[in-house]
Amino acid sequence: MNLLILLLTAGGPFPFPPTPIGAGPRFHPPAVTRPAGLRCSGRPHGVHLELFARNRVMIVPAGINSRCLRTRWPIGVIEARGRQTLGGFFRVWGQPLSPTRLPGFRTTRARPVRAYVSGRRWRGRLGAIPLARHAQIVLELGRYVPPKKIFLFPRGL
Amino acid sequence: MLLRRLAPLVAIALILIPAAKSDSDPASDILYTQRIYLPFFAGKVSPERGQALKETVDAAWGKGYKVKVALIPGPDDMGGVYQLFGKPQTYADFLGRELVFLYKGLLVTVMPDGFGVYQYKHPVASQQAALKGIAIDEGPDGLAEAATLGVARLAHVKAAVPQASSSGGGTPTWALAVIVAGGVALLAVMIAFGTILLRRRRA
Repeated sequence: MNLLILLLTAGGPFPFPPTPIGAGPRFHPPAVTRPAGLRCSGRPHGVHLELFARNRVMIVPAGINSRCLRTRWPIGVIEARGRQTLGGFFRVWGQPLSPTRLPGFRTTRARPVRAYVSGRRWRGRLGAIPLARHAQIVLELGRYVPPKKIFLFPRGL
Repeated sequence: MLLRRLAPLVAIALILIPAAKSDSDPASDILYTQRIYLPFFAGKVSPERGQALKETVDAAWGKGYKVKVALIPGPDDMGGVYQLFGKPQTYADFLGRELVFLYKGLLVTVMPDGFGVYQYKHPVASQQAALKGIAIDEGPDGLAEAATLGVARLAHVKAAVPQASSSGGGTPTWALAVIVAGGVALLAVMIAFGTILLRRRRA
Protein backbone atom coordinates (compact mmCIF):
# COMPACT_ATOMS: atom_id res chain seq x y z
CA MET A 1 0.00 0.00 0.00
CA ASN A 2 2.78 2.40 0.99
CA LEU A 3 4.65 1.53 -2.20
CA LEU A 4 1.54 2.29 -4.24
CA ILE A 5 1.17 5.69 -2.56
CA LEU A 6 4.82 6.44 -3.30
CA LEU A 7 4.46 5.51 -6.95
CA LEU A 8 1.26 7.48 -7.40
CA THR A 9 2.53 10.61 -5.68
CA ALA A 10 6.14 10.62 -6.86
CA GLY A 11 7.08 14.12 -7.88
CA GLY A 12 4.19 15.53 -5.85
CA PRO A 13 4.25 18.92 -4.17
CA PHE A 14 7.38 19.67 -2.22
CA PRO A 15 6.50 19.98 1.48
CA PHE A 16 8.48 23.11 2.28
CA PRO A 17 8.88 25.11 4.47
CA PRO A 18 7.95 23.03 7.50
CA THR A 19 6.07 24.25 10.54
CA PRO A 20 8.40 24.28 13.55
CA ILE A 21 7.61 22.41 16.75
CA GLY A 22 6.55 24.89 19.43
CA ALA A 23 8.74 25.51 22.45
CA GLY A 24 7.38 25.48 25.98
CA PRO A 25 5.02 23.24 27.93
CA ARG A 26 1.88 24.40 26.10
CA PHE A 27 3.17 22.71 22.97
CA HIS A 28 4.12 19.54 24.84
CA PRO A 29 1.05 18.46 26.81
CA PRO A 30 1.58 15.49 29.11
CA ALA A 31 0.37 11.95 28.47
CA VAL A 32 -2.57 11.21 30.73
CA THR A 33 -5.02 8.31 30.56
CA ARG A 34 -8.50 8.87 31.95
CA PRO A 35 -11.31 6.32 32.12
CA ALA A 36 -13.72 7.18 29.33
CA GLY A 37 -16.01 4.15 29.27
CA LEU A 38 -15.20 3.26 25.68
CA ARG A 39 -16.08 -0.11 24.21
CA CYS A 40 -13.96 -1.80 21.60
CA SER A 41 -12.91 -5.07 20.02
CA GLY A 42 -10.68 -6.38 17.26
CA ARG A 43 -7.21 -5.57 16.12
CA PRO A 44 -5.82 -2.03 16.49
CA HIS A 45 -5.55 0.20 13.44
CA GLY A 46 -3.52 3.35 12.87
CA VAL A 47 -4.81 6.93 12.79
CA HIS A 48 -2.59 9.99 12.45
CA LEU A 49 -3.37 13.17 14.35
CA GLU A 50 -1.55 16.48 13.89
CA LEU A 51 -2.14 19.48 16.12
CA PHE A 52 -1.21 23.05 15.26
CA ALA A 53 -1.59 26.11 17.43
CA ARG A 54 -0.42 29.61 16.52
CA ASN A 55 1.53 28.25 13.54
CA ARG A 56 3.51 25.79 15.65
CA VAL A 57 3.36 22.02 15.99
CA MET A 58 1.94 20.67 19.23
CA ILE A 59 3.14 17.21 20.21
CA VAL A 60 0.70 14.36 20.80
CA PRO A 61 2.60 12.53 23.54
CA ALA A 62 3.49 8.86 23.80
CA GLY A 63 2.00 6.97 26.74
CA ILE A 64 -1.73 7.57 26.44
CA ASN A 65 -2.79 4.02 27.08
CA SER A 66 -6.30 2.70 27.37
CA ARG A 67 -7.66 -0.61 26.13
CA CYS A 68 -9.28 1.03 23.10
CA LEU A 69 -6.90 3.91 22.31
CA ARG A 70 -3.20 4.34 22.82
CA THR A 71 -0.14 6.26 21.63
CA ARG A 72 3.10 4.30 21.73
CA TRP A 73 5.27 7.01 20.13
CA PRO A 74 5.17 10.83 20.31
CA ILE A 75 4.61 11.05 16.56
CA GLY A 76 0.85 11.49 16.41
CA VAL A 77 0.04 7.87 15.57
CA ILE A 78 -2.97 6.66 17.55
CA GLU A 79 -3.70 2.95 17.73
CA ALA A 80 -7.47 2.56 17.91
CA ARG A 81 -9.56 -0.57 18.38
CA GLY A 82 -13.06 -0.71 16.99
CA ARG A 83 -15.12 2.33 16.00
CA GLN A 84 -13.74 5.28 17.94
CA THR A 85 -14.03 9.03 17.57
CA LEU A 86 -11.71 11.97 18.08
CA GLY A 87 -13.88 13.06 21.00
CA GLY A 88 -13.27 9.69 22.66
CA PHE A 89 -9.51 10.10 22.23
CA PHE A 90 -9.53 13.56 23.84
CA ARG A 91 -11.66 12.23 26.71
CA VAL A 92 -9.14 9.44 27.32
CA TRP A 93 -6.32 11.99 27.10
CA GLY A 94 -8.17 14.31 29.50
CA GLN A 95 -7.71 17.32 27.23
CA PRO A 96 -10.28 19.80 25.90
CA LEU A 97 -11.56 19.66 22.34
CA SER A 98 -14.10 22.20 21.14
CA PRO A 99 -14.44 24.92 18.49
CA THR A 100 -12.74 27.32 20.90
CA ARG A 101 -10.29 25.05 22.71
CA LEU A 102 -7.34 22.77 22.07
CA PRO A 103 -4.97 21.51 24.79
CA GLY A 104 -3.34 24.61 26.30
CA PHE A 105 -4.95 27.06 23.85
CA ARG A 106 -8.14 29.06 23.45
CA THR A 107 -9.61 30.91 20.53
CA THR A 108 -12.80 32.81 19.74
CA ARG A 109 -15.99 31.59 18.07
CA ALA A 110 -15.18 33.99 15.23
CA ARG A 111 -11.91 32.13 14.54
CA PRO A 112 -12.68 28.57 15.61
CA VAL A 113 -10.51 25.46 15.60
CA ARG A 114 -10.42 24.01 12.09
CA ALA A 115 -10.34 20.29 11.34
CA TYR A 116 -9.21 18.48 8.19
CA VAL A 117 -9.59 14.80 7.41
CA SER A 118 -7.31 13.53 4.64
CA GLY A 119 -6.83 17.13 3.53
CA ARG A 120 -10.54 18.02 3.38
CA ARG A 121 -12.19 20.46 5.76
CA TRP A 122 -14.44 18.80 8.36
CA ARG A 123 -17.55 20.90 8.96
CA GLY A 124 -19.24 18.76 11.58
CA ARG A 125 -18.68 18.43 15.31
CA LEU A 126 -14.97 17.97 16.07
CA GLY A 127 -15.60 15.21 18.59
CA ALA A 128 -17.50 13.20 15.99
CA ILE A 129 -14.56 12.81 13.60
CA PRO A 130 -14.24 9.05 13.16
CA LEU A 131 -10.88 7.47 13.91
CA ALA A 132 -11.08 5.35 10.77
CA ARG A 133 -8.19 3.19 9.62
CA HIS A 134 -5.34 5.36 8.25
CA ALA A 135 -7.29 8.57 8.73
CA GLN A 136 -5.04 11.66 8.54
CA ILE A 137 -6.58 14.21 10.91
CA VAL A 138 -5.31 17.77 11.33
CA LEU A 139 -6.57 20.25 13.92
CA GLU A 140 -5.53 23.90 13.63
CA LEU A 141 -5.95 26.90 15.86
CA GLY A 142 -4.73 30.24 14.51
CA ARG A 143 -2.90 30.65 11.22
CA TYR A 144 -3.75 28.27 8.39
CA VAL A 145 -1.28 25.43 7.81
CA PRO A 146 -1.85 23.47 4.57
CA PRO A 147 -2.96 20.08 5.84
CA LYS A 148 -1.34 16.85 4.69
CA LYS A 149 -3.57 14.33 2.93
CA ILE A 150 -1.46 11.23 3.36
CA PHE A 151 0.67 9.72 6.10
CA LEU A 152 2.66 6.51 5.64
CA PHE A 153 1.71 4.20 8.48
CA PRO A 154 3.89 1.49 9.94
CA ARG A 155 3.24 -1.97 8.56
CA GLY A 156 0.68 -3.92 10.54
CA LEU A 157 -1.32 -0.86 11.53
CA MET B 1 -0.56 56.84 8.03
CA LEU B 2 2.41 54.49 8.20
CA LEU B 3 0.08 51.52 8.54
CA ARG B 4 -1.78 52.60 5.39
CA ARG B 5 1.49 52.79 3.46
CA LEU B 6 2.62 49.40 4.73
CA ALA B 7 -0.69 47.65 4.08
CA PRO B 8 -0.05 46.90 0.36
CA LEU B 9 3.43 45.59 1.18
CA VAL B 10 2.03 43.33 3.87
CA ALA B 11 -0.63 42.06 1.46
CA ILE B 12 2.00 41.29 -1.21
CA ALA B 13 4.19 39.56 1.37
CA LEU B 14 1.30 37.39 2.50
CA ILE B 15 0.71 36.32 -1.09
CA LEU B 16 4.36 35.69 -1.93
CA ILE B 17 5.57 34.01 1.26
CA PRO B 18 4.46 30.38 1.14
CA ALA B 19 2.45 29.11 4.06
CA ALA B 20 4.34 26.68 6.24
CA LYS B 21 3.44 23.05 5.70
CA SER B 22 2.47 20.60 8.36
CA ASP B 23 5.26 18.33 9.59
CA SER B 24 4.14 14.77 10.37
CA ASP B 25 7.56 13.17 10.06
CA PRO B 26 8.37 10.93 13.05
CA ALA B 27 12.04 12.01 13.34
CA SER B 28 11.18 15.60 14.31
CA ASP B 29 8.89 14.42 17.10
CA ILE B 30 11.69 12.29 18.55
CA LEU B 31 14.73 14.51 17.97
CA TYR B 32 13.40 17.48 19.89
CA THR B 33 14.15 15.53 23.06
CA GLN B 34 16.56 12.79 21.90
CA ARG B 35 19.96 12.95 20.21
CA ILE B 36 19.34 10.05 17.83
CA TYR B 37 16.39 8.99 15.75
CA LEU B 38 16.58 5.25 15.14
CA PRO B 39 14.04 4.01 12.61
CA PHE B 40 10.74 2.73 13.98
CA PHE B 41 9.06 1.36 10.93
CA ALA B 42 11.38 0.84 7.95
CA GLY B 43 13.54 -1.74 9.75
CA LYS B 44 15.36 -1.85 13.06
CA VAL B 45 18.94 -1.09 14.00
CA SER B 46 20.59 -3.89 16.00
CA PRO B 47 21.11 -3.03 19.70
CA GLU B 48 24.91 -3.17 19.32
CA ARG B 49 25.00 -0.77 16.37
CA GLY B 50 22.48 1.53 18.06
CA GLN B 51 24.55 1.57 21.24
CA ALA B 52 27.77 2.30 19.33
CA LEU B 53 26.10 5.26 17.62
CA LYS B 54 24.70 6.50 20.92
CA GLU B 55 28.11 6.27 22.61
CA THR B 56 29.78 8.13 19.76
CA VAL B 57 27.16 10.89 19.74
CA ASP B 58 27.38 11.16 23.53
CA ALA B 59 31.18 11.41 23.26
CA ALA B 60 30.76 14.25 20.77
CA TRP B 61 28.38 16.08 23.14
CA GLY B 62 30.81 15.40 25.99
CA LYS B 63 33.41 17.31 23.99
CA GLY B 64 30.96 20.17 23.47
CA TYR B 65 30.17 19.19 19.86
CA LYS B 66 26.38 19.22 19.61
CA VAL B 67 25.08 16.87 16.95
CA LYS B 68 21.80 15.04 16.40
CA VAL B 69 21.36 12.17 13.96
CA ALA B 70 18.36 10.76 12.09
CA LEU B 71 18.61 7.37 10.39
CA ILE B 72 16.05 6.91 7.63
CA PRO B 73 16.36 3.52 5.90
CA GLY B 74 13.01 3.69 4.08
CA PRO B 75 10.03 5.94 3.30
CA ASP B 76 7.96 4.37 6.09
CA ASP B 77 9.96 6.47 8.54
CA MET B 78 9.08 9.69 6.71
CA GLY B 79 5.40 9.79 7.70
CA GLY B 80 3.78 12.67 5.81
CA VAL B 81 6.93 13.89 4.01
CA TYR B 82 7.67 10.66 2.17
CA GLN B 83 8.43 12.75 -0.95
CA LEU B 84 11.74 13.63 0.68
CA PHE B 85 12.94 10.04 0.93
CA GLY B 86 16.08 9.69 -1.16
CA LYS B 87 16.91 13.38 -0.62
CA PRO B 88 18.98 13.40 2.58
CA GLN B 89 20.15 17.00 2.22
CA THR B 90 16.67 18.39 1.55
CA TYR B 91 15.31 16.41 4.46
CA ALA B 92 18.10 17.71 6.73
CA ASP B 93 17.10 21.29 5.77
CA PHE B 94 13.46 20.43 6.45
CA LEU B 95 14.06 18.68 9.76
CA GLY B 96 16.42 21.37 11.00
CA ARG B 97 13.80 24.04 10.43
CA GLU B 98 11.17 22.01 12.24
CA LEU B 99 13.42 21.83 15.30
CA VAL B 100 14.66 25.40 15.13
CA PHE B 101 12.94 26.61 18.32
CA LEU B 102 14.25 23.67 20.30
CA TYR B 103 17.64 22.84 18.84
CA LYS B 104 20.13 24.87 16.82
CA GLY B 105 23.14 22.54 16.76
CA LEU B 106 24.32 20.35 13.90
CA LEU B 107 21.87 17.87 12.43
CA VAL B 108 22.87 14.89 10.30
CA THR B 109 20.43 12.78 8.30
CA VAL B 110 21.47 9.42 6.88
CA MET B 111 19.61 7.65 4.07
CA PRO B 112 20.78 4.85 1.79
CA ASP B 113 21.60 7.59 -0.77
CA GLY B 114 23.92 9.54 1.49
CA PHE B 115 24.21 12.15 4.21
CA GLY B 116 22.46 15.45 4.77
CA VAL B 117 23.73 18.18 7.08
CA TYR B 118 22.02 21.26 8.51
CA GLN B 119 22.79 23.85 11.12
CA TYR B 120 20.69 26.91 11.72
CA LYS B 121 22.35 30.01 10.23
CA HIS B 122 25.66 28.20 9.72
CA PRO B 123 27.31 27.04 6.48
CA VAL B 124 27.79 23.27 6.43
CA ALA B 125 29.99 22.77 3.36
CA SER B 126 32.97 21.54 5.40
CA GLN B 127 30.82 18.99 7.27
CA GLN B 128 29.27 17.80 4.01
CA ALA B 129 32.75 17.37 2.53
CA ALA B 130 33.93 15.45 5.61
CA LEU B 131 31.07 12.96 5.27
CA LYS B 132 31.35 12.50 1.52
CA GLY B 133 33.81 9.61 1.49
CA ILE B 134 31.93 7.44 3.99
CA ALA B 135 30.35 4.37 2.40
CA ILE B 136 26.83 3.47 3.51
CA ASP B 137 26.14 -0.26 3.61
CA GLU B 138 22.67 -1.74 3.12
CA GLY B 139 19.99 -1.79 5.77
CA PRO B 140 19.47 0.05 9.06
CA ASP B 141 22.73 -1.32 10.48
CA GLY B 142 24.62 0.00 7.48
CA LEU B 143 23.17 3.45 8.12
CA ALA B 144 24.00 3.26 11.83
CA GLU B 145 27.58 2.26 11.11
CA ALA B 146 28.03 5.07 8.59
CA ALA B 147 26.49 7.56 11.04
CA THR B 148 28.84 6.40 13.80
CA LEU B 149 31.87 6.93 11.56
CA GLY B 150 30.47 10.25 10.34
CA VAL B 151 29.88 11.67 13.82
CA ALA B 152 33.32 10.47 14.94
CA ARG B 153 34.92 12.19 11.97
CA LEU B 154 33.00 15.44 12.46
CA ALA B 155 33.54 15.69 16.21
CA HIS B 156 37.08 14.23 16.21
CA VAL B 157 36.12 11.53 18.67
CA LYS B 158 36.77 7.79 18.54
CA ALA B 159 34.00 5.79 16.88
CA ALA B 160 32.57 3.33 19.40
CA VAL B 161 32.94 -0.29 18.34
CA PRO B 162 29.73 -2.36 18.44
CA GLN B 163 29.84 -4.82 21.32
CA ALA B 164 27.87 -8.05 21.48
CA SER B 165 25.02 -7.38 23.88
CA SER B 166 24.71 -9.61 26.94
CA SER B 167 21.10 -10.49 26.25
CA GLY B 168 20.86 -10.70 22.47
CA GLY B 169 24.26 -11.33 20.98
CA GLY B 170 25.90 -13.62 23.57
CA THR B 171 25.55 -17.34 24.16
CA PRO B 172 21.89 -18.26 24.45
CA THR B 173 20.61 -19.54 27.82
CA TRP B 174 19.75 -22.99 26.46
CA ALA B 175 23.32 -23.39 25.18
CA LEU B 176 24.71 -22.40 28.57
CA ALA B 177 22.43 -25.00 30.21
CA VAL B 178 23.69 -27.71 27.82
CA ILE B 179 27.31 -26.75 28.51
CA VAL B 180 26.77 -26.84 32.30
CA ALA B 181 24.85 -30.14 32.14
CA GLY B 182 27.55 -31.65 29.89
CA GLY B 183 30.27 -30.47 32.27
CA VAL B 184 28.49 -31.99 35.27
CA ALA B 185 27.97 -35.29 33.40
CA LEU B 186 31.64 -35.39 32.35
CA LEU B 187 32.75 -34.71 35.91
CA ALA B 188 30.48 -37.49 37.20
CA VAL B 189 31.90 -39.94 34.65
CA MET B 190 35.47 -38.94 35.57
CA ILE B 191 34.79 -39.40 39.29
CA ALA B 192 33.16 -42.79 38.71
CA PHE B 193 35.96 -43.89 36.40
CA GLY B 194 38.60 -42.67 38.90
CA THR B 195 36.89 -44.51 41.76
CA ILE B 196 36.80 -47.76 39.77
CA LEU B 197 40.48 -47.42 38.85
CA LEU B 198 41.41 -46.72 42.47
CA ARG B 199 39.50 -49.79 43.72
CA ARG B 200 41.16 -52.03 41.13
CA ARG B 201 44.65 -50.80 42.09
CA ARG B 202 43.93 -51.38 45.79
CA ALA B 203 42.57 -54.83 45.00
